Amino acid sequence: MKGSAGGILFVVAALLVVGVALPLVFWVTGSPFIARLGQLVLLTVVLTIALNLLTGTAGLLALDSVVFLGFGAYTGAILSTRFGTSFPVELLVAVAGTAVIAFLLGLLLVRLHSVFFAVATVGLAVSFYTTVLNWGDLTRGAMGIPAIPPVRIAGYELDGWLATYMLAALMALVAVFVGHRMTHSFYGNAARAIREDEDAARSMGLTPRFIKAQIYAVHGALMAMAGVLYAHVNSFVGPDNFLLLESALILTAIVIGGLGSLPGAVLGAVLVVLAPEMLRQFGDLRAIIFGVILFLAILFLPRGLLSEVRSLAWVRRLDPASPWARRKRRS
Amino acid sequence: MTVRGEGTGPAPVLEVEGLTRDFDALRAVDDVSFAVMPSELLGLIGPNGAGKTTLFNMLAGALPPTAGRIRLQGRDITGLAPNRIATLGIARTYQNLRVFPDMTVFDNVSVGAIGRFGVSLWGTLVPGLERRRSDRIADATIAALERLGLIDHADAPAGNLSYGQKKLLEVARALTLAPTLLLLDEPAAGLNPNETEALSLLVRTLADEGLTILLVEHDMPMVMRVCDRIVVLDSGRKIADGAPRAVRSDPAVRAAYLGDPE
Repeated sequence: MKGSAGGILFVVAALLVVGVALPLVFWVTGSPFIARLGQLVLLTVVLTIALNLLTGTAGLLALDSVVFLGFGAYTGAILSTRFGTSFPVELLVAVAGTAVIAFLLGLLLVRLHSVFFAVATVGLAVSFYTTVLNWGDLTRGAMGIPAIPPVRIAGYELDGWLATYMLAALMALVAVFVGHRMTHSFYGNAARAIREDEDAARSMGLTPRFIKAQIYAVHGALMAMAGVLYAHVNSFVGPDNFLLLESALILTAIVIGGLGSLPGAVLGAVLVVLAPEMLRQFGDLRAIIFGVILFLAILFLPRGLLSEVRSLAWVRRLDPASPWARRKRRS
Repeated sequence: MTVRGEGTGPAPVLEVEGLTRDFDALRAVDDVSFAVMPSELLGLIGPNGAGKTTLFNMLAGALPPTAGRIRLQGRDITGLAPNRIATLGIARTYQNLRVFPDMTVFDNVSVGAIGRFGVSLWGTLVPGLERRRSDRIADATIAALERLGLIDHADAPAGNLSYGQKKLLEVARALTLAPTLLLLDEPAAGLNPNETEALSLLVRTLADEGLTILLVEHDMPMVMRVCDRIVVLDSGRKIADGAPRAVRSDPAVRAAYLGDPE
């Protein structure tokens, strides 16, 4: 019982900080820059959690995150500029469409293993960029899509920083929920078993291809969700928003946070967004300093700041609904 | 669940008929037939290169046979995928340990139960939907851990266990599948005499409790002591099939195996 109270307390505290305390700080400081930064952190949290499910938990090294982020962003941009759709409609189209496409794509891709899978995803990211660049009728090519209107829900335009911040917070909440359910469950065990030894997992009755394709689909759907909001808050999307480099940055975040660790994915997102800002005082040196910090982090903490093993144990202690609590109840 | 015919005795759990496997010009397993009866502990022995592992892999679905049939409780399972065969009731362990090193002992063992009861993405995402299934998986895991005396190590990473404990872990993982037939691939390999003794006792007890077991083993004294019946392979062919005592004195076996100073 003590454990369950701890878990609920933790969730309530996190919600209060992100949903009340931080917006208050933004309001008091009156700085739109800080609010935008908070929003960016929250959207990045969605991306790191999505990639962490795929790369951390299921062990598939993927570099095509930007493809699904791009799907979402372009869906939002095209629908809203051409048809004036509302935000929920865009979300539905982007998330459902990406989930289906990513699942089918996943079934093909996960036939490949290790570095071959990684190379295939690089190929996918490159072809996405080329397609967006050359399919001018749909994407306006290199010019990109400017003047994307603010988010519209039920006839209201939400263009204030608080509204979009809250939407980003809501998306981060969805991602944390999905990540939590998939990581800290027997489904997560199945995914980790497949990652550790696919043959042994198969001889225990698991279907690796199917489970990996499902996770690939969830990863894509979460990315697309973030992409829709990204298009609106940025009010512009172009092919250069979706370079391979962005995928690498998300990957860096989850490696620093701890591969396979949900709290690690959140921490990683916070660090990769905020650290470059904090290093701003160093001027041109900041890219080098940031790089050195990343290098040292990976050198000395190969399992990340919050390792998977420790995070799993910690979350299971706090979560009253986890099947792991059953053993404690019995004994 | 034994089906009794008219005075014919129980139907076999596993029937292997004319099983053959070629690797290019080499015939690794050559027209092998045998049956495993319910609750029987059948030993499969033979010198190195006799085709034990190849046969084992065909039974587990890891390798498709060139010819022949495999039937589990009368159902043809020849050439099915390993995960199908596992869910149909054949669980296996590995000769060279295949535990999931970065997962805890509990999580390792749960994988067999997950294979048995299944997991679904929707059930995982929607709270409450998967509750009963999760409880079953947890209960089966706990039962297997208690059965093999690993419950005190439940939260330890599997990589930290001793070699002998990892072997037990694999047996526990296989048991959570609630198999009709348990395939053990050289479980005594790499164990010290005490551990081998404990393992023999465990295997014998499992069989006495009604589990059907096929034991592939190199450790001759162990096989002779615990098995109800023994099948001997040599150069891919079956050369003997009978009670341990009969097999021990079989001249063909002595020539092929026992006379061979291993």
